[in-house]
Amino acid sequence: MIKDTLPRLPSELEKYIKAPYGGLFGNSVIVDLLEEITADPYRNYRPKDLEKFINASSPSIRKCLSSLTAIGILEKDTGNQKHPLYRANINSKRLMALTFLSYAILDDRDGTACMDESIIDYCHRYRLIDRIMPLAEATLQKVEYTFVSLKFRQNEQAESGNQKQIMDITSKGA
Amino acid sequence: MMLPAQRNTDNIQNLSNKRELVTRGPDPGQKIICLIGWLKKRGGVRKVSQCNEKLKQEGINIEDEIERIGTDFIRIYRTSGGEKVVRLENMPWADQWLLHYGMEVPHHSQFEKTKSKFLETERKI
Repeated sequence: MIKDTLPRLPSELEKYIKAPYGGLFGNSVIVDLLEEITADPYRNYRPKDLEKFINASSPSIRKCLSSLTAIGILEKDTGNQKHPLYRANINSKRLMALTFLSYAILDDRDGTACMDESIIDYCHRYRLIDRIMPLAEATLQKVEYTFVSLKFRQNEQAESGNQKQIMDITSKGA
Repeated sequence: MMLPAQRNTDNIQNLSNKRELVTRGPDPGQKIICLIGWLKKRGGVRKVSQCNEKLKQEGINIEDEIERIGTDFIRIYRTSGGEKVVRLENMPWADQWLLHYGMEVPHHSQFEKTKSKFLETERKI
């Protein structure tokens, strides 16, 4: 008999295979489908392929696909009425938020910074940085101005304190 | 002399322009990067059979790819039930290559690139 050399998967990771989002929303077909579509948003999905992949019945897959299409997370390509294709709606903010959630789950589990990296990438890719920049600069300038004026006031107070001390000393000396 | 405010706004500018990504470790390649992105968003652990199903269109096998990339980055484990699973070992490595290939967050430009590729393979199937 050949000895199995493969290492054993830590038991705490097994729940990530069994339930979508590590069991955060339970283990239903719709959540599994949602996680699958979020994880691979560029693919065209056929109900038949999803049945096999998610290991769910045909009616439940079709029902979930219809509800996800109705709420705008999926788009249905009705080019072929008999074999419709579904694809993720890239414009959906919920799809984006779910992408961040996937990374947040990893970060909480492993202490990584995947969500932070993806948010930075999102800001650059969607040109949000151009919107943030003027605000960030203005805030910084305001903070710096407050800091400088506080410093100036502190120096003034220190100087007046010193002068008072000198005057006290000279008056005592006199 | 440069004012502190001026210095800090320059720092913000530098940060915003700093998107020249440094990539370290083996390049997973265009064919397998989709799988790495998928794996990462599905908790970093998936069954080998599912990974191979995903790679079917590319005509490659996950176990061969893991051998090529190295087990420090992606590795096969066995569950308590005896099933073979793939685990993404090095998240920062995956992160940098996903950013490099523009696969970290969903975007139209990437969608357009992959759409034509998938349509082509679907036509073949």
